[in-house]
Amino acid sequence: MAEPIYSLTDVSYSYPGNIPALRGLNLSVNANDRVAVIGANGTGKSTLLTMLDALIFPDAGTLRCWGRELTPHSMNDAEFQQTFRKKVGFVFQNPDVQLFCPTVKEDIVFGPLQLGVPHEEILRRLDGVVERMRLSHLLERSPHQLSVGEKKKAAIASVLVIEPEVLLFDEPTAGLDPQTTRDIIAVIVDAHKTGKTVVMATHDLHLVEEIADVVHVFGDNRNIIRSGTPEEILSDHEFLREHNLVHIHVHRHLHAIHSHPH
Amino acid sequence: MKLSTKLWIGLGGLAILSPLGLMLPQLFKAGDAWGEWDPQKIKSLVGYVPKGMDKLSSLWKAPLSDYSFRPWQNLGIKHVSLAYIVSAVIGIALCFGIAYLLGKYLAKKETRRGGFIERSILGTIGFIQGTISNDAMAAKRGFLQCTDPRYKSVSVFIILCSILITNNAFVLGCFYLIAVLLSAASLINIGFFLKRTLLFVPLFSFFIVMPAIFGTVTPGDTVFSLTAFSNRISITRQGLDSALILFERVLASVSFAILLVLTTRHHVLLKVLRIFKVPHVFVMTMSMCYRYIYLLLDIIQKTFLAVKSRVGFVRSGKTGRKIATMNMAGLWLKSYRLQTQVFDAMLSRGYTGEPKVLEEFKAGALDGVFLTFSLLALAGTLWLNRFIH
Repeated sequence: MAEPIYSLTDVSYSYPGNIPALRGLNLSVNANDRVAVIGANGTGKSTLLTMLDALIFPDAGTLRCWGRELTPHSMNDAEFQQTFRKKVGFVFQNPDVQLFCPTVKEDIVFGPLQLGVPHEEILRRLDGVVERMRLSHLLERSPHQLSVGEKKKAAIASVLVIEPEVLLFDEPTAGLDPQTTRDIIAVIVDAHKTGKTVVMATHDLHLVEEIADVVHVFGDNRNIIRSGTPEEILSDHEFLREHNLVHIHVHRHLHAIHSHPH
Repeated sequence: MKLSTKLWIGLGGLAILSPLGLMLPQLFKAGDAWGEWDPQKIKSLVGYVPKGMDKLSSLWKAPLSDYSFRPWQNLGIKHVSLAYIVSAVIGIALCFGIAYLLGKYLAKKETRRGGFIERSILGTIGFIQGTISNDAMAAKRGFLQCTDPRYKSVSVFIILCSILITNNAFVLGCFYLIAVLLSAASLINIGFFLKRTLLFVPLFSFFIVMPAIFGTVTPGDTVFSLTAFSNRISITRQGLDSALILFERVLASVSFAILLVLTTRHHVLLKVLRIFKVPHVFVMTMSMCYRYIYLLLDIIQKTFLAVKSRVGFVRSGKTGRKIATMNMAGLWLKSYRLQTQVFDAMLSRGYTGEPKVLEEFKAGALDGVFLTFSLLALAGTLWLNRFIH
């Protein structure tokens, strides 16, 4: 069996002030996997993604990526860092964080420019990603002039243009309108079809059903409390309700009151 | 005890003690209070009365001369002391009354306009919105918008140098006329441009220019004079000339600077700094500041609205300041968190400390025309300066 892209062994991490975020986590992600990480707020999902992007490092345990341990020291190796950044792309939950350039166009080309992609190649990729995300009319606009959905699309474009092998998404559809949600789901599905590995943190169980092959559920213990296929996890309503992932939705169909998990 | 009660007691105590200023000098035979001398005393001390003091001493007659009432002045220390205390009470009452009425008036004004904080926030947001509308102007396809920002900046810089070395009002007037023509060629509303230049520039330069017109600053041929308080104030022709040149120079310089800013998008203008070898990291920091001002302003506005929705309009200045202080602290924490996340987002896309940016400037024939014109203007100004003194 091929070596996993990521392998985490007994990983723990605390934020300053000794606030635990992850406790003894074991996880592996294989090439072309579609992994969904679900769980209530504050269970460590975003921390995990930030760690998978080598922006923070374990306090205890080991985090390996393509066989090499990710530590502050290993990321100081300029060559390794550049290779890693070319291979892993992270879409942050808040697009305002990701769009820091004066125009959408500059934001999209920021990554490839820093990673030393040739100028002509950058322009080719820019055209492709702009067409894919339907952003051509927004290129010269400043990010503050965009709607939330447009910002999210621009943020995704700024990562897709790097053409990474692994895509990390933190709440990719949170707070978006149905059409933008559909567009983003289509982008993630397409990315997987082209062989990319996708890891995403979400509360949207519809997204899990549609996109993921493997689901990891995070609990209050800041660790995975259950893993399985979407069918296994999503059919266990009792389990989902217990961990704040569904609620009972009551509504009316003609004259009858109907309820089901939501 | 309330702070205001303590203050009143303190003021009362001081009023009662005020006759000490009368008694102690008498006790120690110290004479009048040092420095509070009338012209006669000055004459006896230094032998003459300075001219200015002589003129000004008759300008103002105190309502309570020597803090006393005229009929009481020869009735002994007890009467004069009482008059001192009464004067102190009248003084305190007057100060309090004026401050109270002023406070009432300002508070009323604040209530009417929605409070100082609200006005400041709305004013700042209005200013930013004004800047956005500039972006719309920079997106038009006029003459200056179509020129390469690098050539445009250098050309404007050369023109500004020409304006600075010109000493002729007519030439400066021509420069302003050129600025107006350029604004028309750049599809900028002429009314808007004239208002921006002719309305605001005189306002700012007026106070700087004004002293130059008087004979005391610029001596010369008197055009107009008047006498006030036995002083002759004259306005000179040379003073008026130098004021006109200064005013026109400011007007022409500001007009070209405004043209540059109106016809170039802010981030592009920042990028132009690169041709002056300003480091990338500095330019990028500036453009990021520009980018995040909007976000932080949005947070301020929403926080302010959230406060308003919960507690209504804040009438008390003290509460308003308290809320503003808490918001500032909250905003600082938010901006700190934001900058950490933004830096993470930069690292995530391969940033290593020296940003690389896309340079997309393209020079064309128009740029050559504008640059040649500015060089000719500089040469022409230098040539004309040989004949004008």
